[in-house]
Amino acid sequence: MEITARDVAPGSVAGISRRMRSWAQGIGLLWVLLILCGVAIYLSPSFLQTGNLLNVGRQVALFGIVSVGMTFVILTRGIDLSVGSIVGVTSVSAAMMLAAGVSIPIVVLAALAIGVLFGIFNGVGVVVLGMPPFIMTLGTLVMGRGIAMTIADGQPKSLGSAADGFHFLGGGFLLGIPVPIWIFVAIVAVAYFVLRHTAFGRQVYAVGSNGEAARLAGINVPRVLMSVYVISGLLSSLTALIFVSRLTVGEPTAGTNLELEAISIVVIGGTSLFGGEGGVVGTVIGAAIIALMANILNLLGISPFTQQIVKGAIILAAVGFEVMRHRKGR
Amino acid sequence: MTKALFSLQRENDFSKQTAAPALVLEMRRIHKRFPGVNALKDVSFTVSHGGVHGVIGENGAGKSTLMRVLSGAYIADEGEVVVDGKVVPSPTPDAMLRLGIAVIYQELAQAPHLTVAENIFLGRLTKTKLGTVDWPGVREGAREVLGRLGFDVSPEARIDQISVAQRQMVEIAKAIARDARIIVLDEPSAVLGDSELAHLFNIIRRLSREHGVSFIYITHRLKELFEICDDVTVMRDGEVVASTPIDSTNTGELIRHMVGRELKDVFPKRVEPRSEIRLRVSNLTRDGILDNISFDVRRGEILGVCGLAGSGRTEVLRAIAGADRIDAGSVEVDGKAVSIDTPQKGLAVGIGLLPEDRKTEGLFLDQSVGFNITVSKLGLVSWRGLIRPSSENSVVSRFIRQMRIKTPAAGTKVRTLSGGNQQKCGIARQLHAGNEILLVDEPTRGVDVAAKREIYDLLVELTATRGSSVVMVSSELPEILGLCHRILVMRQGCVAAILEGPGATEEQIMSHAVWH
Repeated sequence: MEITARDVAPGSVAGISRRMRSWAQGIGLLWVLLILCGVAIYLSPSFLQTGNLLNVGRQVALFGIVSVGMTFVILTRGIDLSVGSIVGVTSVSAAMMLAAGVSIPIVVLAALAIGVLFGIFNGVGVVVLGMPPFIMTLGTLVMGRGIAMTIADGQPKSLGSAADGFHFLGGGFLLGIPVPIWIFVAIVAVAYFVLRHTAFGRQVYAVGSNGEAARLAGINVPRVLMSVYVISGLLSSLTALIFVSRLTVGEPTAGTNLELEAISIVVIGGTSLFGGEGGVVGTVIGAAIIALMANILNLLGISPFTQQIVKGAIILAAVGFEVMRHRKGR
Repeated sequence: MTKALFSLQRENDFSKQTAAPALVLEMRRIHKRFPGVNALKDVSFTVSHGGVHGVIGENGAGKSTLMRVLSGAYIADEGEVVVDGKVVPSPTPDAMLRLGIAVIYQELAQAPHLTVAENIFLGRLTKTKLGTVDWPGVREGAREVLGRLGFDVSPEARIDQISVAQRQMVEIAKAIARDARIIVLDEPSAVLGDSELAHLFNIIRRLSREHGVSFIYITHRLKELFEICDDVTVMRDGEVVASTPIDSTNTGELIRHMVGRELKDVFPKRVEPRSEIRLRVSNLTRDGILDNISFDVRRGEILGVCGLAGSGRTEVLRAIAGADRIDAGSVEVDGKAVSIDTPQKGLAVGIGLLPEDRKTEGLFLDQSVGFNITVSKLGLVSWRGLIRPSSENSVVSRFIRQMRIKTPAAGTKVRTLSGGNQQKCGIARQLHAGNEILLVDEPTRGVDVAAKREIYDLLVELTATRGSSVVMVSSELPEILGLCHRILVMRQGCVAAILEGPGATEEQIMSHAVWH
């Protein structure tokens, strides 16, 4: 096959394949992560203690699970603001069922069903009614929190005697590693596989890259969109179960601001808010960066208020970088 | 005194070559080049005081570019614009507006949620002493202008609540309120109904005769020129090919001027189509857009669809492919009625659409060549929903090789390829999906000559060897004449004629396509 210089636009990255480019981006993020680790070790030798590392890992897992769902949604050029509220509703519902003596497998299934229902609700709004995802899920966010408060009457719900039996999911260990980390690893593996190696994953990228072209290419766009909101809802309620298990209480306020955490993680992980670009590996690194950053600021004894300022600045930097890169590409 | 007068006269003589009295506008030897295109070549154009000057030409003839130069939106590379005998030193949009030149585009640039009065005075609302807007004054001013023009529109009505014709009136009132003396109307008949158009013509006549306002009237429809214009200029390929008083020309001559070019591209030899009917479209109707379209396409046939912009040619393809809803009509494939309301269903019966705008509707620009080729039928390269990289890679490299897609790798982003190679990716997607009824919309737009030839060869080969059927929309008549077995000419959402390809002429097509 002949390739002439003329066929490659000057200054473009035509010579580098997509895979190589995303790999290079991943490496950039990995560098940030390594530097953060170095800083953490330098600042405080206690960073490397097993207890601290596992803490950071658990943190990564908890925010990471929701962020994986958010990654799917953002890849289709959408957004899901309702994840935190879904966590709230699921938390109080699960806690009340457990306290009432419902068996654990049924509680788990029912809790996951709540997430799926919320996902379908969001999906119907976006797909059938054609509402902008931002507005649709904003409505769900507000309503969901209200539902959680109403169900729980504004009070935290104790698990009662069921707490011990349910402890394993969020507080247990397997081979010396907290169970939530195992769950996170499994979810990341599945999500990576789905996005990379299945027809559905390909269609998620297609819808996000160019929705109209996807429709004209015969892709069932409504089904793809519906699926990503269901995935996001499902992973939100899974997160809620871990919360409830670990804290032994279902709080109606659980998951407040979780949507902001998840969006930050996804964006820092290099998934484009313009859709069709990015993936779950970046999201894992994004979650690790956010957790490490918080850990370092804690180790430094910086007040939570100041931490918020730093975190906001990081998000702006990440998004700003992304927007600039996008503009250059056009 | 005499001397001064004399010199003034000399200057006047110098400034106008034509003897016509009171030229209000002269555009002299305008050149405008864009990268790769010579949009205007040595164009000269004049408008007389109180005259109506029609401009006609095919799509891409340079009419809009010329008007953009006139409005100051584009700066000409060469040439000058002369208003009232004085060369405009710096023709910025602002300067042209102040000289009284107003362009009313087809897509009206109005604020839909504001009132008529606000739109008329948009950007120059009168203020009270306190610095707030003088609303009574604005309404009064609007009422005065509308009344003077005899327009039946309430100044308080909101723009989104009035008809398109009334919106045109508001634009004209806005121009008059700014003391415009030259008003450019860009294809008003494309959005106006017959009675509305008649009303617009009355307004034009009155303003030009009683108020001395000059008009430049751009249109596709010959009939209108004879109804309203004093002079007509025909443009083709960025040049003025004729400029004449309307009384000294006729429809046939104008059509010849519009098309008049030789068939210079080389086309592959046509192969006779087979007899079986592959696709039959009956009474296809989409309210206000397509009206009772019926035609059929045989196996191995290339059916050309042409018509002016807005005639519904693109919409026909989209309706058949399931991209747009239809209100009535039926589609049969191989004699069986099919119901196609989504592109997905079209694909299921082998109907594929290559959309008009490959960048916004066709391709996933930021995805790879391979992604773009296999995306429509991922099932062919997967096993139970899992994509098999080896089979995908071999399929993709086969298409890259066979269709000579020039790309560094299968993983290269489509955005970085040339127009021709991008288009080949789009066609490869159709072939990968196994579509045997290809609806191709402007397949060679923005494609270089070599790739054009390759696309022609490919379409002919598909029809001749595989018996595929192609319906091709194109605004390039030579390619329609060179490739198609039959030609469907559209006008105003209707089938104006179906011609046999061999033997058809551009004049014949244009005479069916234009309104006269």
